[in-house]
Amino acid sequence: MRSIIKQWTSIAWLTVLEAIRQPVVILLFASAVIFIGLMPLVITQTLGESAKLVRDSAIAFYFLCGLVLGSYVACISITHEIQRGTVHAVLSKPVPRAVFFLAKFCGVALIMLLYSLGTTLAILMSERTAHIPFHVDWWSAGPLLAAPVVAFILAGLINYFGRRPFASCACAGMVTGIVLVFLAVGFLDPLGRPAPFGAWYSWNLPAACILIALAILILAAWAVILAPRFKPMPTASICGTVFLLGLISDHLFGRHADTHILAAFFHTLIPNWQHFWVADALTDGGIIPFHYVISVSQYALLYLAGLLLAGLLIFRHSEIKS
Amino acid sequence: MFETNESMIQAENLTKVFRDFWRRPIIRAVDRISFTVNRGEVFGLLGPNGSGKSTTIKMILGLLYPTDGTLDVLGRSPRDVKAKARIGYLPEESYLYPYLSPEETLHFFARLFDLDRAERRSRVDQLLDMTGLRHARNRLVGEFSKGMARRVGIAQALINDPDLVVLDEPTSGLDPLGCRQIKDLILTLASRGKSVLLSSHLLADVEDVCDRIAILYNGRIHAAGPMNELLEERHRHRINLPEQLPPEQLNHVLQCMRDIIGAEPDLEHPRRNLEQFFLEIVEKARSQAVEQTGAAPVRNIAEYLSARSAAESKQDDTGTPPPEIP
Repeated sequence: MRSIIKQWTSIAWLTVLEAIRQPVVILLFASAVIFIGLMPLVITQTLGESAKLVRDSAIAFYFLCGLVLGSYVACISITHEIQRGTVHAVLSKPVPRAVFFLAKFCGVALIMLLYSLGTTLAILMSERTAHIPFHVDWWSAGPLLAAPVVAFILAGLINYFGRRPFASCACAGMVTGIVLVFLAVGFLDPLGRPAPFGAWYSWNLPAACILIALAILILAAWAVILAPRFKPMPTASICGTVFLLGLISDHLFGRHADTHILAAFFHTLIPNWQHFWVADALTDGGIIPFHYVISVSQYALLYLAGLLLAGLLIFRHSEIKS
Repeated sequence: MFETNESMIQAENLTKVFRDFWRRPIIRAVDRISFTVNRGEVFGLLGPNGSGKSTTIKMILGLLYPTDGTLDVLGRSPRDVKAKARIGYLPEESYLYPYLSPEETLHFFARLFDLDRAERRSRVDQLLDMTGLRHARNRLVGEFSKGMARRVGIAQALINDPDLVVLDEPTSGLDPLGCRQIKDLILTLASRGKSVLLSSHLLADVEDVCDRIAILYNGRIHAAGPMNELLEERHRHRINLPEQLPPEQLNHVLQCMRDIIGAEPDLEHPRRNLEQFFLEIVEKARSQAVEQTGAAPVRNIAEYLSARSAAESKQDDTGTPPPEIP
């Protein structure tokens, strides 16, 4: 059992390490944070209802970037591993296929959780920046936009002097930087005066972001189970189709589910994203009930378990060809 | 050598048919082949491209499944992870993670074998030394030349001190120094009772190290047996004379041969082989060189690979002849 856990953690950690050393991953992550950080600066100066616009746009961007990132990381961690042949080297060692497959998913999930943590904190700070109409909270916007820049500069220096990989240093630096500035800014009000921690953050936002994170994990799981069978383009296309069908699942299948068995089957098979998109509920200070978050989490976890079990059964008996 | 009749790999009528999306057969890559690899033996699988060597190796590793026939590896099914714990595999291409350094790569593979931290560090250090990559231990493998990546591949195949080593084109991309070291390593492993299954296009390398070979073509074995038996030309003879033989004695020997066989004997001066000559020149050049940019000069074989284990020493005490270490 100990050796299984060691193998599992090694493969999961390797998946994380490999992914965060890919320049595309840090570019997508940094783009999401910078875009979310810049959004209030543009919107606050031009449109009314800035907080709602910033919140909706930021969550949508977080969702979209997360879907792209999740599919990409799943592809590079499994499809590329098969194409490159590294899977031969790993599976010729005493590694059970179930351990390999689940560890790969856990690695992908860990990256998506890091991404979700960074972007959720960025959304909280961004929403605070636009909280007062036609006023930019520079005490929040400044540090948020500075965090990726400082992380990139530090990563460059570490790469130059310490010869460590730039992309992974930048990724780790950015997450750390965002957490630190989030904590520091939490003690200040929009005018830079000391305030109780988090008084200016919208604490109903994290629940919406958690649900989005679960949706991203589900799509990443789809990519993980497709990746051993298909090349990156077909995997991305199928994930895109699942995403689009999931957006209109209720309309396409839900209303016929009680009368048609096929509609019921597809309504169960395709994840229903409507459960996860609750940004509209936050308008005018609305809150997302805790029990709703719990019930959607249960749905997501059961869906993930079923999806991974199916993927595991397929992968366990499939031949590894490069 | 340390050969016994204990079979490490046993294949009987092994067949592999690849199928298309509709499950229709498209190619019979391996066709009813049977062979055995014994303990302490170096077995060569030879054949042109597409002859079924790599498919056979992948079936031995449990990556592909036989369509027909039986295959036992270390007395178990090739898909059994317990068998894999005693196998070291060097793939045809250096299948490595480009965003990891050699040190990270070796630690990763060592952790898959549940080696404790001290043992892991010791083996990784020894293998980095052995493959001449100590100075490049923190560089990313993706930046390496093919030969340097190959060395990392070889090191990962040996991290678990395997009983059965499967080497697919082990000298591909290596310079002559690296090739010589791999051949020495193979002989050392065999002398310790390890079995080596070798697939290569470089016939000279195979000839230097293999005890037995099988030649595949179109998925079938067309010739198999001990190397010496297959290559020996029984109808021809060669006489080796002592070195520095005085000319008058040589003429006398030749005259005797003319008188006895009634024909002019063919007299030639033996030549060193090119590999030997090259190694001498490089050795001289290395003694004058100041700086090294690529892989460092190859070192001695890692201690844990060349040292005899306690079990082997005990076996020696009970009367088994000691293995030769080249």
